[in-house]
Amino acid sequence: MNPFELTTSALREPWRLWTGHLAHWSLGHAAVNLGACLLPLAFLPSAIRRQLLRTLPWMLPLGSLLLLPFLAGRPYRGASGLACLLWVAAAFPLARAGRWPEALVFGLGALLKSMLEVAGGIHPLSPDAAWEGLPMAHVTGAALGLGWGLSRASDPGVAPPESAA
Amino acid sequence: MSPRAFALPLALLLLASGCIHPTTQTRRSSLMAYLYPKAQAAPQPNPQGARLQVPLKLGVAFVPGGGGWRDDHPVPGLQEKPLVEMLRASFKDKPWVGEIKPIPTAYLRADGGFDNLDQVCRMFGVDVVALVSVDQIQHTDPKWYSFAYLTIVGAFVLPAEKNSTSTLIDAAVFHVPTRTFLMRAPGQNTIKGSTTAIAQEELLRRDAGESLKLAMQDLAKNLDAEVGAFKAEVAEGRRTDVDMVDRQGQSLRQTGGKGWGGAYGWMEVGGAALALAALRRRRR
Repeated sequence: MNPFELTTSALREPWRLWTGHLAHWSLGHAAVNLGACLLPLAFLPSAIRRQLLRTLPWMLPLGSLLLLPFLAGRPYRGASGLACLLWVAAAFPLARAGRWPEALVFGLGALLKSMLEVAGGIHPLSPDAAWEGLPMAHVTGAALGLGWGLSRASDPGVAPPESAA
Repeated sequence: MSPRAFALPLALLLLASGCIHPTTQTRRSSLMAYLYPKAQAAPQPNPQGARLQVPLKLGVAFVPGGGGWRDDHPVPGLQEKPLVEMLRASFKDKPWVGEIKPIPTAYLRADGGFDNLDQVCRMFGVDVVALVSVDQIQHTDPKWYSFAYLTIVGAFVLPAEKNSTSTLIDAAVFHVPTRTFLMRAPGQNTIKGSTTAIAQEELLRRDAGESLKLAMQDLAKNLDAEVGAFKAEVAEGRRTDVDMVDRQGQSLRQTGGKGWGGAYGWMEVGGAALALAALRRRRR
């Protein structure tokens, strides 16, 4: 058993709650998830980015705990739950700053992806991939991102690019 | 010349000829002789196939020899339990094995077959048993200067005996209730060395135990690889006679042995990046 992937034994081996999001099945898998995580961060000003990143040490294990009932004895690897969290969370400060198009790309993009996977069984993986997609990872990630965004509803938004420059 | 004058050289010559004679010792236990005694046909496996509950409760037993190879093998450390403990230590972190139970060879009858295995499996509460058979051969060859044994002192001080100990261990894993053969894995080792004629027996005993231990380590490594290959065969449906079921009752054949992963697609990330870049350009 890989010592870093997320399994139900994470209750005995708690580091898995964090490392499960870092372990991946292949380099390609890791690369696309890394890209998905970096994309929303690139659109946030550093102050908000720091606020968001500071929450990750407890958001990641919370996401893992929410995922445990859906594992059905199989291991999980991947940072896409985290990516969903970041996409949805990034939409809130962008929307508050009036940058609606970007906010919609991130917020609606992540929500649409999660819904299509859960309801429609549509997943970006090819059926012969060496692992199977777990849509609940994206749903829990999106829910956590939603929670983070709503909890900071009173925060000032992100300045538009023109004024920021 | 008196007969006494011949007596000493003759005695030395006899002693030396005894020492410098090449010898071979073998110790062997045969799986086939144990499972299918008197050349009886192998029992038909259950047509429904074996359904293995993962993590497995695995019994490990050393196949008894015809005359009981253990009985004429007084090597210290050649007890079954330390060897099985070694196997257990190698597999303690593996998710497919829950418990490894050593089954003493004393509980197995020579030529006992599956009937005997059924009894011990029920006794130890296991369905899957790894039967370990051992084939060990020790050669001793004198070196060219072994004639120095004629001096008597030479037999004590000259390492003129070349020894080699080769051990081949074979573990065959069976699901006993359905008589289904699951997999096999080998372990092997060869130890070479030199010794004086006087210390030869002691060194051979020590080498026999050491070689068995190292072969067992090799077996543990190979068994892990074989289990991986076996699981892949079951997951891909190539082993139609076997299925593995996890704690949640999910069949390995149904899940294909695949783990969960969460991923964005390249299209999703690339599409979003392009849309965002287009938005930025339009704003300028």
